[in-house]
Amino acid sequence: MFMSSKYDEDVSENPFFMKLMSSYAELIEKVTVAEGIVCVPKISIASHIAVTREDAEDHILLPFTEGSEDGANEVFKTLSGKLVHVNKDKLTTKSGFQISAEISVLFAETFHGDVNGSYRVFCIDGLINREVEKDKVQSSLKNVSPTSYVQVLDMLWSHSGGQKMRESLDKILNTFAATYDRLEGESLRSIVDAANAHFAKAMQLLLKDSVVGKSARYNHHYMENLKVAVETYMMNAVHKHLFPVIIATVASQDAELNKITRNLRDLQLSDLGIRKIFNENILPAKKELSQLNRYSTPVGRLFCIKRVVAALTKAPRLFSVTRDGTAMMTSDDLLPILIFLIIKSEVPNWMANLVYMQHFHFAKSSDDDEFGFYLASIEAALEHIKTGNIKEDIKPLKRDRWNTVILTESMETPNTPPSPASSASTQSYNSIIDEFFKYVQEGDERAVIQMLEQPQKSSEEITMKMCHPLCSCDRCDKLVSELRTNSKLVTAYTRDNKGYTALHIAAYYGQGLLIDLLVKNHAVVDATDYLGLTPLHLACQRGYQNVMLLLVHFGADTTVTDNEGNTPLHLSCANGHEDCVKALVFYDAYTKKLNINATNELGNTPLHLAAKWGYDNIVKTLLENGAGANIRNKKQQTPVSLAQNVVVQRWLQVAAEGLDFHPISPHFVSPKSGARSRSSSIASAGPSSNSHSDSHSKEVEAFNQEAACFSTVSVSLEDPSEAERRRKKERLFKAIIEGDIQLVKFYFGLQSDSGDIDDDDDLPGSAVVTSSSGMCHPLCQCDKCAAVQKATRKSSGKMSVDVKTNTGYSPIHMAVLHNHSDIVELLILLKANVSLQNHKGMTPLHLACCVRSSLITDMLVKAGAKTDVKDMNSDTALIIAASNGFLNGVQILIKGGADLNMTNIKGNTALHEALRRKHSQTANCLLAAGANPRMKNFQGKLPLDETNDPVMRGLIVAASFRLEEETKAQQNTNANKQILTDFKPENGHISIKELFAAFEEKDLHTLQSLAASIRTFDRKSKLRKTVTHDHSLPRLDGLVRKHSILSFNKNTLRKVRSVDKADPLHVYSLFKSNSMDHVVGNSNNNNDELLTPMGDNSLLPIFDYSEDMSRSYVNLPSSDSLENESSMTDDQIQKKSVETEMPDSPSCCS
Amino acid sequence: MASAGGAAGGGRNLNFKVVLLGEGCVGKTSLVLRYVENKFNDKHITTLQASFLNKKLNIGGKRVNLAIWDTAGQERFHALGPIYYRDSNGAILVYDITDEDSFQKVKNWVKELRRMLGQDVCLCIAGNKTDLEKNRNVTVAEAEAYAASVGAKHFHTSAKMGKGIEDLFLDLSKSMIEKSEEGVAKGRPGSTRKSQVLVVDDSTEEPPPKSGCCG
Repeated sequence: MFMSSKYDEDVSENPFFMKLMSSYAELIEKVTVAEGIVCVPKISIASHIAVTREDAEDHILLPFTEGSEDGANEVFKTLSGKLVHVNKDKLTTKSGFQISAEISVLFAETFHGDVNGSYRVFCIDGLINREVEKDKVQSSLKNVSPTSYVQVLDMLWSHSGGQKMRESLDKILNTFAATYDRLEGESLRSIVDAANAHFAKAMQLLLKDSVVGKSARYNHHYMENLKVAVETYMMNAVHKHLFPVIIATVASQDAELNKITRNLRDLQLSDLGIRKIFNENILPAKKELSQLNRYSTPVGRLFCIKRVVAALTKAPRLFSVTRDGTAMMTSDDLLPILIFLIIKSEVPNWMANLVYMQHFHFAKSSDDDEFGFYLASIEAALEHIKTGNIKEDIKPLKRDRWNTVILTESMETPNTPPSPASSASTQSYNSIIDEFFKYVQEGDERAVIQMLEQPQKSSEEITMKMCHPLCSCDRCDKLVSELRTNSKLVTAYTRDNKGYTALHIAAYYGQGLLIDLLVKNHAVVDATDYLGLTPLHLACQRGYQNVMLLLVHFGADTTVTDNEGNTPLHLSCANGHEDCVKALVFYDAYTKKLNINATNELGNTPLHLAAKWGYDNIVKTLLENGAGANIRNKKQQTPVSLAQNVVVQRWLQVAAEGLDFHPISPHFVSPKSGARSRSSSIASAGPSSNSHSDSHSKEVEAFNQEAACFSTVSVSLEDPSEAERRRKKERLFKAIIEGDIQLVKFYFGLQSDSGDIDDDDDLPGSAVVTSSSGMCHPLCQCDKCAAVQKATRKSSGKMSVDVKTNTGYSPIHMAVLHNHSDIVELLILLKANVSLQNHKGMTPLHLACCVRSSLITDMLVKAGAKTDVKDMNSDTALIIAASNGFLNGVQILIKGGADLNMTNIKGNTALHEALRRKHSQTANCLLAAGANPRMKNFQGKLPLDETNDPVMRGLIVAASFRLEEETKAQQNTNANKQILTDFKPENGHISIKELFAAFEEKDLHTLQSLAASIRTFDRKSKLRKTVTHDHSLPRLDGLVRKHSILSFNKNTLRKVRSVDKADPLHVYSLFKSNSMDHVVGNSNNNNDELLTPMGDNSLLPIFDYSEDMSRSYVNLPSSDSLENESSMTDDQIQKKSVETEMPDSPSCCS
Repeated sequence: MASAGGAAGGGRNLNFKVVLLGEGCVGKTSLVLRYVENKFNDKHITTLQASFLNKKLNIGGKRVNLAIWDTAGQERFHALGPIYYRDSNGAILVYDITDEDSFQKVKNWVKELRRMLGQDVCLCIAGNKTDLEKNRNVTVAEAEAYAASVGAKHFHTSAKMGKGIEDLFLDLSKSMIEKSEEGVAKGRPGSTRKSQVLVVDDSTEEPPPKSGCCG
């Protein structure tokens, strides 16, 4: 056991020393000159003895160089001529003393006086020249730091009244403990502060006690020790609550660190340049370090680290004959060793530990400087690991190590000719392999091809040299046999002395391109090395998803285990390669081979590993795919008990209790085919899966068998296909929430090219289901898979676009809610029901107004969503939009024909809501659109009562008046209605009724807004053509055209019209228009003049309102006429359109 | 954590953190081992924990406790320097007089320390291995001129012969005492040494009862 704390006292206050200084100053001078040692008994002894001259002389040592040095000891002579040996922290009295005794040196202090020269003072535990009467020395715990929990208890509570105090302290600590749980998610700083405050409270409580308080006041050491004791007691009590909070705070850092350390498993001592001399100390140190998490207090852990260092420094047995001080352990050695130990340690929460030791050790102890150093070293080591630079230090496949065993399963290979590299003929076989593997490692595709093709080439060469390919004359025989016996060629089967094939190497270094090449050259995909690792293992271990997918594509077995029973999934989980885990699991949706709950030799499932190292996303993925959270490993640990991270723990607990992820018993999930595969559900869904390929029907059988066995042993509450469907649904919704449109398409069984969605009938119901066994991953885009994807269409077949969650959300709800317009578009294309209501009665349109997305609102309205659906609060989408001040949405909804005057549960209209929330623009828009300003809500309030804004109030009043007049004028409008029908814009943006009312009431506001809307619409969508054309053409062209029109009118128009219409009325109209042509030709801009000849009074008022109106009106020619006259200017259009309208006008005139 | 400057120690006990910096083989560790244990490379040393050492001094009645931190000299660990030297009161920069490169390293360290710790840290530059004077590659004049230019003391040491080491540490201790007394006088002990290094010094977090009772 290590001395926990060093004794310390101020020697200059020691009575023995004071006596020496005062009475025997000349002796001190002597010792200063000779650089000797003054031995001073510790104060508890010194205060009980009278110092004589003899004592003084016996306690002053001068260096003595005569006589034989016996090695480790320095020899000194007292002033009285007696010999003393000094060895490290021990004094041994030798000749001259009556007895040979050993006295320990408590500490040494070097005294530098004002003058040159110095001497050392040894504070010793006794007197050199005589025994100390024990009873006089009160040795108490008070001056020694407590080293164990028992001592702590003894120190704190042994005195009278201690128990009572303990109870009250416990009470405080218990309430504190509870608060830590709530600190989760807080910053580290506040957690430290909270803990520190508790410590202060605890100290306060203790010092209130008169006995303790008094001792503490007079004895500095006691105070120090008391603090250590209190801290130990407190941390021991709250550790259970506090540490998890710390872990949670730094969980992501720890996971990151773990991922790095897991991936450094191949690290060798030599990679870090650690001297061999320390090798034998590594193991004990590692053992010591593995205990770290067993200590509950920061001090305990600090001592643990200290013991690790002590273990490292232990004198190595084998090196009893040391070479020049090589065994001195400097930081140059310590740091790499610590790095090594941390990487190799199984401690999954280093960052949390570091924080715990750094920030939660409140009491100072005399070891603190040393602890500080160790902590800094650990921090430095962690920092260095985190930089990721160590990876470069590792050379796990050092070329120089490969030179002994060679395995070859050689092909019928040939010949002598040199391999591609120039001097190959002289190279040994080993170096050729090395060279080959080096090319593989570097991904040098061309060189690899060259080497692999060599056998072929050389055999051809030989054939050329032979008399005849089948000849067996001596010469030919010799050639052939040479070719057979030549071993200086490599194949894809060639292995090195670890049993690695080229494919292993390519997988290990992530050379995706070479995988393809090697497999084409007949490499064995599932080749195992001496440890039973396949290339797939290596790819998963190293985290090369591309390689992994390729290997799986080429049929690599995902269930194969290495010598330790690890599947590829184990390795990627342990090393934190989330992408690989996901790829493995997704791929398995087709093959259903993977056993997600496979156990290795230690009984660990992939979930155990992911939980232990805190990879939260992997844990999630595994749980979602049916990993059992209740499985125990050989140490009877469940994933929950291994998890350090609180969040992960919680998930696992939930899953273990079967609450959330899926309530399927592990028994069901563990069989090979798993419960999650898509085809299972298809199969269970019945005849629709008839078109499946053979592999599918086999799976169906397998499923049925399993279902049969399931029914007998099942403890699950759920029908498997039901569970299946539900899980699929969850995935779909997750994809929607994340906005992953590719995945959404996939789940609906669409190709990822969005281009062909709309123009063929590729809807989920009719999608072709084909075998997918050739795919790496549902969404894989590697060469192979892309081909497969193009050739075939994947489909889930059964996922309905209107599937609902248990809160009634359909996919389109979800997409709208998360504002993914692309997915909404997709769903609309898929003919999703856009007016579905969720459990709160909300349609997607409601949600679109909630999230204020004009794009989506517009899409939904155009897709024919019902605008006037009421949700559970009787709110319509318009009311929601209005209360959100979502102006665009309000406009879109009004255009879409939403009822302006619907009321909600409070009797409020959209206008009420808009005004209440001070969205004056929205209110304005509503008023302009004709919302009724005189509706009262259930409290009897008018919209007017909802606002104080004078402008708004004015507008409302104006609108009210308008409404009144409107009702009055209502009766007179019937005649005009018919006429106006003809002026109705083609795309129906403004209802006739509105137009009509507007015209009748001469309402400037409405007209303006109408005109504006018409104008903007036209300019943007239709007139643009005209304008752009116009710019590119010379002005002259227009003039020419104008002329031609004028000159042509008389002659040609008549003919056409007469040919077109045989109606007698038209004859009349033609006659009329003929006469009008003169007018058109002469007048340019005068509308009145232009129109007067028509002689229809009912039309007059329309053009009275404004120039705006009229122009906007005539700018609305039919699309046909636009095509003909696309290069005309506005004025020209005016005229032309009038002309083109003429044929129709008579019908209304008559 | 090393408490800064001993301001809390009631005036008589001073705790100083001294960090040793220098390239791998310049003999930092030998230097400190010679100082603390009075040992050098002799055949009797077995395994010694030499990366952290304590030394108690009594200088003119002031008790000084030196916590001497050795640092890893390998270039690849250079970036970890701040973890070691933060909060240190003094730094000893060691170079090998036969190795010009190691002197360049010292210059780099000095720059870095001044940048990170400012003027609060006392610097000493030690030209070690003076027993190999005949192989000297760094001239005395150059070294001393450089030391003076950056406000550091320069010492010639030999860990092997045990020369100059006592002086080095004594002088460093004295200047650290001065510095800490300056700090006390200004009423802001060690106040300039903050925030440049992220980790919070625990010594500032001690609960109130302690300071009230340890007088």
